[in-house]
Amino acid sequence: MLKARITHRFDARFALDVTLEVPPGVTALVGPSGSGKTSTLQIIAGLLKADSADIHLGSTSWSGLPPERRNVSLVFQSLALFPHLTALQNVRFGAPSDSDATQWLERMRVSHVAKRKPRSLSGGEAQRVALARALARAPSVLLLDEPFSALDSALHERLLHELREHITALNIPTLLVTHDERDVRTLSARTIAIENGRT
Amino acid sequence: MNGPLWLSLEIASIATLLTTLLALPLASLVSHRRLFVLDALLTTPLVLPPTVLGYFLLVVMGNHTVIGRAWQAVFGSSLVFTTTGIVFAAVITSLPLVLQATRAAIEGVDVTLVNAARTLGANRFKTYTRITLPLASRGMCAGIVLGFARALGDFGVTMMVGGNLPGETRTASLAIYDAFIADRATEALHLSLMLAGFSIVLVSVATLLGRRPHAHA
Repeated sequence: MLKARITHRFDARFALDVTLEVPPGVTALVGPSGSGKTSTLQIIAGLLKADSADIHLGSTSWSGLPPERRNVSLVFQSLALFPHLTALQNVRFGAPSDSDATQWLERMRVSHVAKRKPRSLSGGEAQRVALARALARAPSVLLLDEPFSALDSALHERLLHELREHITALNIPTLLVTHDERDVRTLSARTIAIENGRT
Repeated sequence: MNGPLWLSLEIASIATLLTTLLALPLASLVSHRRLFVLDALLTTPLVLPPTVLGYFLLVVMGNHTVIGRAWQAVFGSSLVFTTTGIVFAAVITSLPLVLQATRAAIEGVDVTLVNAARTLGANRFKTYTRITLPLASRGMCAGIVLGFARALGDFGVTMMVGGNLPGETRTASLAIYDAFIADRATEALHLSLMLAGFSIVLVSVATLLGRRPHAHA
């Protein structure tokens, strides 16, 4: 179980005051644009330093740990595939071994693009490579920041079903930021609402 | 190859190597807002008249300063009016170009990619060497090529710091001036064409590198 108690003041008009409990499985963080969803993910991942962040995974405190020591994978809305690396090298970047990277490309059904650079991938292929990269790291926590927002409807649906299988198998706390009600339904997600920086 | 031109290439090559080694750590350092004075100091040679910069360097490296005396004590020779002296001068004149290009290239790397690397377990060093530097390399190389071109064609600072000693400090630019003054028009023309040719090639390479890869018109 991931537990987070976060407070952070961005400026005079906006502050974050969030309390989360994310058990294994998918929890959706839903709310309007600018409500603090992405900032919450970034603080949990250690990418943004909060005024106060008490984050625990089980009995282990993540407070003060740099991102690379949190064993968390974050799939960005833009996917953030490294443009100078091939798909396999992207997945290998965080994976414990070459075979893990290769296996995850196979599991995500994109082993045929292993030697291709991100710019030559279709939207769906890039999405699968980004998910493979996040999962190949064997994370203790998975954070998904609207990862399917750029996909067409059919592909969106298909990827959601595949992702559900993988997350169920891994049984790790997964926090999904989404605007889409379909994501919540398909992933059987618990829902936490956030508005104006407050859960 | 022509002696002065070869000397210019030699000086520009060594100076560019030193400049590149300096620019990498300095680019990260001067990007801190509090070090804006250092940033301004390192960039100033870009806008100073060559004679003014040459004068300051002549004073700083001269035998009456700590630097000049220390150099004399260690190496047994003066720093000014030597090839080594004009290499240092070339470093100072080309550093702003390489530094600013390196800095812009590093700051231009998408921060999301840097963040992605961190969440994939890479520490700051691995992120810098595996993600930031490779992605910034084209912009950095463009700056390095421009720095080389600047060092290759320098006249004023080289004249001030190096004098114009044949075989020692007479670079291609100075040799062109000498040939022109002595009415050796053909020699001046040949050297000028060679230097212009080098410069056109170098600037073309820098322009090509400065363009985004796979950008279409």
